[in-house]
Amino acid sequence: MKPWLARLLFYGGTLLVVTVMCQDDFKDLCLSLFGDDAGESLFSFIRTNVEAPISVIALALYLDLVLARRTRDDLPEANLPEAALRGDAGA
Amino acid sequence: MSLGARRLIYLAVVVAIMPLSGWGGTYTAWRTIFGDDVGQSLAVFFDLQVETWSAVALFAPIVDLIYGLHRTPQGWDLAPRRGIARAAAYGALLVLVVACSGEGPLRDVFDVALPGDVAASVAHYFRRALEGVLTVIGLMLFLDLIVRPGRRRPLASA
Repeated sequence: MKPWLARLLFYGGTLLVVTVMCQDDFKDLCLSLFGDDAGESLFSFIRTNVEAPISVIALALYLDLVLARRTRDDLPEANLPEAALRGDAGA
Repeated sequence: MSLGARRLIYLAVVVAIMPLSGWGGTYTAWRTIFGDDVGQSLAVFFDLQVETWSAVALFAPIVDLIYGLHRTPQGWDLAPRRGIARAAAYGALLVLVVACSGEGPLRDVFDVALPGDVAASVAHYFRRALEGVLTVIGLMLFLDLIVRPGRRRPLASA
């Protein structure tokens, strides 16, 4: 899969999850599937945790925009000894 | 753009979003762009994302500086610092857990230097950030207990 397409699906899909989690239609679906009490409780739980997919997007952006071009040469000294002990420092 | 500059810009944006999302001017901007109802809803929605920004602002530097996440020709790899650095990070996060848990005492501390309403607001933000701190501790445990031993195993059996 092309990297740009994978990113489009990942970021777009996660944004879609965020949007769906906040919709009244999704609440209605929960109610119809699990009944009024359990459905309401489940929807409230999911809706309260909308921070999770937004955190995923924000952290993925850090990997994509900041760390994606960081190589072993960019590592500080303090990160290197253990890598050398593992025997893969020259990889 | 250098790695350091990209880091700083990212963290500055994330840290700035936290206070800005609760600022009255931001609410006005949302309402101006999207109308009163939708704009107000979006403003409240993003104002409630304290857990998101606290988790990201903590985990991004940790996975970067402590665990040394980087690219190799084969893909992503970790270059974790020695145990003492990781233990210090766990310790700092546990201190933060205690601080975030005590909204009342924290408010009293902030009250010394800040106006009462600002102190209460900042202390409340810390309390809400607790989820983010706990999330980061969980992710660090995953990296230390699952990912790092998993990387050593093939080398040991080779």
